[in-house]
Amino acid sequence: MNKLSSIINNRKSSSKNHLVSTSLNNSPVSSPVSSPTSFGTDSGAISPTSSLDIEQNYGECLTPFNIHHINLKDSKSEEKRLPVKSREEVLSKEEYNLTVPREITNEFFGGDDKIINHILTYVNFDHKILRCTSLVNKKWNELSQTPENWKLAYELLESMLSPQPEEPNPASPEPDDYKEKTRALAKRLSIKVPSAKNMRGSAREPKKLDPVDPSGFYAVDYKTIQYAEDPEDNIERVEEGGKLVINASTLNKLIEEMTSHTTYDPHFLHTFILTYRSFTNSKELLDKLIQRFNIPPETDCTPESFAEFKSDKLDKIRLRVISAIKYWLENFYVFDFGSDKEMISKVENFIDLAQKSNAQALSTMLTRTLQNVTTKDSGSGVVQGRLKCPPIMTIKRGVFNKNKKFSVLHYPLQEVARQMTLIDFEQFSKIEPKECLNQSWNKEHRDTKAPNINKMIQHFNRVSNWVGTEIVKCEDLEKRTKKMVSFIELANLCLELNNFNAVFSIQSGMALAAIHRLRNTFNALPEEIKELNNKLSAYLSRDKNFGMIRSNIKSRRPPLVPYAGLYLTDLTFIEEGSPKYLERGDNKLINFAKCRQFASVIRDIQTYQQDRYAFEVYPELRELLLNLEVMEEEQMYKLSLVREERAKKKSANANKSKSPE
Amino acid sequence: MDCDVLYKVVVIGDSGVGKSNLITRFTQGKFSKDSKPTIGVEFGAKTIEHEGITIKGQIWDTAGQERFRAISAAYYRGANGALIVYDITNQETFNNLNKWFKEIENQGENGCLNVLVGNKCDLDHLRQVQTEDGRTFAEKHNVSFMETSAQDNTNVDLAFTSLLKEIYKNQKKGKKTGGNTGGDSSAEKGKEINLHEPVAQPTEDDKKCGC
Repeated sequence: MNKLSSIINNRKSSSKNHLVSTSLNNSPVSSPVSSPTSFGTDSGAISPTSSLDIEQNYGECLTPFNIHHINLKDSKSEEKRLPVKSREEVLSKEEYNLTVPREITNEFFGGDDKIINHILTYVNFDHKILRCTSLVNKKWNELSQTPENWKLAYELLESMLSPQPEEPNPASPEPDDYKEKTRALAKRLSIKVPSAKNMRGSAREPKKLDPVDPSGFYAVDYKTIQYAEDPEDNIERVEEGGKLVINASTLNKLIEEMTSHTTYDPHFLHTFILTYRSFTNSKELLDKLIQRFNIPPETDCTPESFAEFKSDKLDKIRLRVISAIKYWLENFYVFDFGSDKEMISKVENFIDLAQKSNAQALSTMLTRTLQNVTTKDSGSGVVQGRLKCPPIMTIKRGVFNKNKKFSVLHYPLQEVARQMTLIDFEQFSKIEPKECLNQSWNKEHRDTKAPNINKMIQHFNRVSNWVGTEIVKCEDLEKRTKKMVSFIELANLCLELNNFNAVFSIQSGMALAAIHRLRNTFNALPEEIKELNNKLSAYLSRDKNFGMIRSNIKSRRPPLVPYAGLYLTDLTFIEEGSPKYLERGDNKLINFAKCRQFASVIRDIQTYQQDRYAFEVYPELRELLLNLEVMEEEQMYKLSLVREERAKKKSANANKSKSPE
Repeated sequence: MDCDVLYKVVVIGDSGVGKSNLITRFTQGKFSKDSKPTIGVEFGAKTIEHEGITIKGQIWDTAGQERFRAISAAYYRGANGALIVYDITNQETFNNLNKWFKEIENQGENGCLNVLVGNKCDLDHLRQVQTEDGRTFAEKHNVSFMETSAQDNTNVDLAFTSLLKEIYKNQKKGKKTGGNTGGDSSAEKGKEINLHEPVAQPTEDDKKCGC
């Protein structure tokens, strides 16, 4: 069996993992995408193993090469890196450049610029599907030379089309039939089949590999490396939305999947990195990846068999390991490495090890990544300059109020809403994926384990209590009513700014027992304000699991500050709703379906963390908002009783039931 | 088909005492590993038959939002009953009960009926709170008491159904005697609250729960 057919068979046997057909059927322009790990060189091997569903993979698109922006012609000049794209940005781009670091191109394409340019010409971002047809086209040149090859081509295409290819049909068509059938199939796949006269050259025999001595490729004696791949039983897959996804697996098997030489699923990588802390820790993960990098050949391998192992497996796995670490560094540096010296030194040691393992190109790539992420400005707070900010609505100061101490509600409400929104967004955008796992915001040590969620909740409560405090502080009904009107208007302005967090905090301030009971005040509200208040409090409705606010959030365009409690509820339900591990006999498999659920919530959070508000900070007002003066709830309640007495008929019973213990 | 009465029951207690697990257990695995919280899914509702009528218990859980203090105000409002839960393997959750009782007294409706629940009784070997202490505490506050385990399903049904029945009994009594069951607001509303309170969503939800 020649190399090509072995690839095809490979592809068949693993085709369960990626159902190309689904996305193909959905999109007439789609075509399979060659996974970079399978970019062949002289052997001409291609295996279009992965279909990239950009719809699902916007942020982390696209390949281990991390498509950012590379211009091969300027490969010596500094690599420019674009910031992570938002979903909208990515989807709106019609064209997109493939970024392939020079080291990789050298390593995998033998530095042949012609091949590379050929590939790049055809790579474009066609609406939602990344097309990478050139390799397929190149393949045609080789495949379509002989009838035998037409058959292989047909099988290749068919295996791409059908999720579970059947055994070869006993009544195989004649070679000529294959030609027609292949063209028909190719048409379905939107692959341009070169016509016979356009074909140049002849099919090349797969190049014979030169023998290689294994010892040069390991930093230690490879015979001493203890490493075995996990049995296939240790991973379970289920169908979800037409795709086979991992249901449960051991950690080792997950690592293998992540660095597989045959499959590639960037969505899986992202899910894994977002959620691994629910079943392991960063150090163990990095160790396991390094172990994987050092996957040894058979102990009795010959230079010939090692050459094959190297080209079929080792090189690909190593590239995938590096890509995974690179991806991890680029997207999670702040969370997992930034403040952890041990992790950084582990990566540095690994770079060193890779160097000694004859993987200089890969190690250089990682070195560069590390340099980039450590010097990158983490950019927090407000973006100024780039976005057009409306002017700050300042308080009018005259001779008489020059030295007056203002309180928040003295400022124009519109500006108060903006400043509140800036603060809320800033706090929300700081939430890290790891804080979302294991209900850490509700547990002991939440100050350290979920510092950002914790801060956000504290601020939320403060705002609620401030609303309550301000209202009960007013002695007479008229002033109280006026305050209440201000807060309702403020909440409405926040709603207009898509700040659902503030709508929740203000509204729940008015729902505090101390305020809710102030019937006279509520009754004194002007009709239109009453109406507005009803509309706003409807957002707080828990009906249908906060259905009202959920659908509202979804229907609005960012920038937006969601009410984070929603996500915390979802995370809690996921956490408690299913076990972390699934028992399979003596085996304990990580419930990866659960991780996918976590990841989808965390992705929702991240979606709204990206788009910032274009407002300028108004320092004096911001200062006030960050230091709101509030009363204790109990004090508020007592004061509330003074403001409006208990209804007479209630008092006897109520007092009885409220007697202190 | 409609449910005859609908009661709102809240479940409160420190985080980690297993509130969500109790609810899940009672409403019978509303979410298996495949399901996912989505819009429109009402979690925690269950219908029981009692004395020939259908009682729907709508069970509210603070689920992850415990620390948004002001949110809980809305949560207590209109509750007909409360399950106050502590963890028998964690003394602190028992010590905090006073706080929770106070909370429900301040924030909850006057006629709100409470049940004290010591959860995780399957973990007897880790027990920090004796059953007797739980019972004494319950007696002092004049509420019923039981120990449950969401893990092996001990008393979970009993805790909820007896609370729902108790509420029903109380409301019926309140209505008959012209409404003095120790809490005027519930008595005022009597049985009729059930379909006119904001908690009740007589249209779609009732269809959904099939009660």
